[in-house]
Amino acid sequence: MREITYRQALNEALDEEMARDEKVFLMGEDIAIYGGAYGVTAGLLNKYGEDRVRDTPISEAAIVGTGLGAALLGYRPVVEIMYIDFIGLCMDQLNNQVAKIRYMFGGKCTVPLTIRTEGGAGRTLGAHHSQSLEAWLMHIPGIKVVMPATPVDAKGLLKSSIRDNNPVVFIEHKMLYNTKGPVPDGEYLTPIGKAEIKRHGNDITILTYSRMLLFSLQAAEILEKEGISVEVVDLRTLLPLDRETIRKSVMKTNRVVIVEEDTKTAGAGAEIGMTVIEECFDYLDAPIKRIAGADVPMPKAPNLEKLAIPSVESIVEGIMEVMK
Amino acid sequence: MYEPSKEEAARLLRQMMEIRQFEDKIMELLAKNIAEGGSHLYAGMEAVAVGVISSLNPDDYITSTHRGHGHAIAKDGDLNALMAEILGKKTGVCKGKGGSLHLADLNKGNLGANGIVAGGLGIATGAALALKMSKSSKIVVCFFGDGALNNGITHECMNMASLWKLPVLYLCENNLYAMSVSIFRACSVKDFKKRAAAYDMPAEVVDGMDVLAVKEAATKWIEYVRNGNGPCLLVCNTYRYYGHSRSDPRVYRTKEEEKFYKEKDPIPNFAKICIQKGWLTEHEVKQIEASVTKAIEEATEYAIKSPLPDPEELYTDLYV
Amino acid sequence: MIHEIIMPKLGETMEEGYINKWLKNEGDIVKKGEVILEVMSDKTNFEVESQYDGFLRKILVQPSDKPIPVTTVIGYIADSMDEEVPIEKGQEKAGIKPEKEKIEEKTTIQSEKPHVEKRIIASPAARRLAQELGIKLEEVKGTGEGGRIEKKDVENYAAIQSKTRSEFETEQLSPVRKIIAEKLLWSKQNIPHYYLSTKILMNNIERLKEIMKAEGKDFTYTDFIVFFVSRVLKNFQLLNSAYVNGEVRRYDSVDIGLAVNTNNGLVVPVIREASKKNMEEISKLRNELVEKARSGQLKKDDVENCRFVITNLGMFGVTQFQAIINPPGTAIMAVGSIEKEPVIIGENITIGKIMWVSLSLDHRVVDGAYGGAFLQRLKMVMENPGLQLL
Repeated sequence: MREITYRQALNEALDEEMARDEKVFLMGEDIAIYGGAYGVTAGLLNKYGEDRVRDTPISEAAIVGTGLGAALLGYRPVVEIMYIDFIGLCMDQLNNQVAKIRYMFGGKCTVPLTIRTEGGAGRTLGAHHSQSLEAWLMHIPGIKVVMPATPVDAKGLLKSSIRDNNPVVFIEHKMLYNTKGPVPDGEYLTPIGKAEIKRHGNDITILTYSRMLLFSLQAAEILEKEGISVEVVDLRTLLPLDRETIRKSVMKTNRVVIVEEDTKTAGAGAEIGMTVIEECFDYLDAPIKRIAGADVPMPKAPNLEKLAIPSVESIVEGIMEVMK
Repeated sequence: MYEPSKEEAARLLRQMMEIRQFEDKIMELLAKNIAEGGSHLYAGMEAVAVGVISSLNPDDYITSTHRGHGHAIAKDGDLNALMAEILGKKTGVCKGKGGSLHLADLNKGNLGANGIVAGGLGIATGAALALKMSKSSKIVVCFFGDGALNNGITHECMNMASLWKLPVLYLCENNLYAMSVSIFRACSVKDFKKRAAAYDMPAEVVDGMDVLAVKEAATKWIEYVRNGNGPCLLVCNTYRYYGHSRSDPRVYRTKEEEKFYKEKDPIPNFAKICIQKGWLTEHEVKQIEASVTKAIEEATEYAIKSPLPDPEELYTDLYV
Repeated sequence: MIHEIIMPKLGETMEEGYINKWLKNEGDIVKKGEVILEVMSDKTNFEVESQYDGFLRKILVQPSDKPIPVTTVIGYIADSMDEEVPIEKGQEKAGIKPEKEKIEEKTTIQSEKPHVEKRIIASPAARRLAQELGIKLEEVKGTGEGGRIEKKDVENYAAIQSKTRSEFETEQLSPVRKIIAEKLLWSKQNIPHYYLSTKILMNNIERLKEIMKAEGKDFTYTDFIVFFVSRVLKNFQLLNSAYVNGEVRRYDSVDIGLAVNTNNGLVVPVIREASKKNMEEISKLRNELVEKARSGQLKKDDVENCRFVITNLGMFGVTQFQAIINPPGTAIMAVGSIEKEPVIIGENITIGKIMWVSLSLDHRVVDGAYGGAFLQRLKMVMENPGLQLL
């Protein structure tokens, strides 16, 4: 199978969906001429024109708000918030308008809006360009939160998000854009709300998502040599969580480690962990452990930045502890 | 001055009376504890909603505000369904899930009231973007209050709409108070026309207590917007007779000021003009009023008798 | 028309209000929208406007410090002063909806936590499985962190349990049994046993037994056997010796052990100096010892230090068997049942009462010929008890 980057996979998803459905259009800061801060929308302006690939002023609230308005009238806008760190600027639109409008109006409207953004640390960009804020979004009923880790999932899930009649926040990771992976030719969709077991194992389950999947798989490789068989579940969608896959895996291994890049306190892992407790408490052999980001703003210094998020080593160490 | 036909005059009067009596009835229901929760009443401001919306085509869109009953009624809202919604009933326009703050009827072009000040700006501007992209001749009227002028997204949207020449009419209902803080204590620029200049769009200020003045201005600016000239700002100076909400003792404004605006009450004043101009007889005015009273009573009875939503409804309508 | 004036609900949190003052008197004309009274809510003062045109027909509640629940009727406005005030309704709540019932605060008395028993540390998975399998966690050893019982510990325990249960029941050996086991295992592994058997014609002893019974002395065959063995042993000292650490200890005293079956297993009480005891003494002592053995009252002295043991399974119909030597003794004699067999005495075939005896001997101490000679002599004296008179 051909191998393409995460970035190319996303670009293909946008391209294919725009070609398929003229109601799909893109809007965001620097997405047209510049091609997106991380180049995801490169080339689309030339192909689809200014109307459908629209550079906006730096107005995050209006980007999401107008995306909602257009969605209510039948369009399928894909709006980009350049960094998830800027999501606070449009949080009212997202939380109070986008997420609630269908329910408030008694189901009499649909909001087929996709909000693309990216997060995570790794480029020493400091506190305003390195955050992982998915937990904020998981707390909002009415939206879906998708966080792909691999090129194949990035493409399949973005296409599914655009076709979904619910608002979807699609969170990419800045350190994944250049990662390569096999992606099939032609049309396929990856279902939202479905986790995938990326590595099968018997002794312990890692529940993870986005870039931390890559770290987790490396850790599993190392642990295999220590005689520990690790199952790695890529959650892929954080809202709604795939409770079924989580339950099945935990019932098999009886041990859980959650690997998350966001800050630990009240982070995504807290919800994932409680889901495990709710779904399969009686199948646990050890306390659930979170290997998570440090509860600090992301520091600039490269060494501190590395320390602020999980590493392959810290995952290995954490699993050894749970396996004691 | 705008000269309505006899039928149109009757319609304008009737709608304004419907709004007034609807709001008076809600105040009564709240006091009697039949209606629960809050409610922001539109009484006093009827000329704005009726003057503007009557100048739109039925398939044009509006976004509304937290004080949205008037807009919903003027946009051809069903009194029964609106009253039921305010009481949180299954038969409400939003199945009892929205309430006073979230009256919406997309089939009638009402993109919804909003519990967040300036909450409608993004929706209206986005809807206008959609209309422009689909080369539609429809337009959007975005209602908001003087309070929303100082909210960030208002700036973002007006800039964007003007930049992209979107078919949206920004309609500022200036009732002088954002809850309790008067525009003189909240706005650095008191003349709201000047705000529009920042976005290079035209603006006009009219007497929002005069339905004909509103209608005249609205007609002009609706046409301007519909013709693809981009957005504009129409400021209607008006006054709410009730407090911000029912628990508002109105200590921030004087009796003299309230009296001044009561004398400018858009409904009896318009009725008087109708009679003077010969559009309606005194008898016809009385007939309209009595018929509105009956309709409001019927709506109230309908709402009270309607059942609450089924418990199963808690989780429906969240996702498609 | 008469309309109620109610204490209005002027905010979400308002449950009661106070009437500050009426701005109109009974009989005054009031207009819709005109302020008729002032009330105080939980937040602030309000002016209450009339909802109707008419006369202030009746004031029901005067200004006071008393809180008035919202929606209470506090007065009436009527089209004329002639209208009747609905007396029976006076002061009742207006409106259709009854006031919300106050939820009584439940005072839950926090009972003191009872003394917490030492908690078994087990994972939820282990607890679930143990419950499903009916396994007591107390019996499972935890191998997890800090001794936590985990699922696999319960599974392992269950595997062992199920194996045990399916084939046999496990029972810890009783202390007595343990001693027997160890002693006999040692004996069989360390003593080079060999076996000699012969059959003894018991017709004469049988006759003697009956005669003695007729004389009022009811002896058992065992009494006779002990009697004769003890007499013969005097001349076969090697069979009354102990083999300890490579040495043979010879004894003058003929002490004969008797294997006795009890509920707690086999015991061997000893009849001391049997060769010096007559039938009556032997019989009496045997009875006492068996009684003591069965009631578990044997003393150390009763069982220790005997060289020759007699074991009898005749009562079970066992005709012949070989026994294991009871160390440090060197011989044990197994006695079978007495069976009728045709025997030739002289030229006649007659019914013989035959008893098989089998001698197990320690070859380190006793050779076959010596053992054979003993059996030959024993057979002789038992078949011809009269010889004892010599």
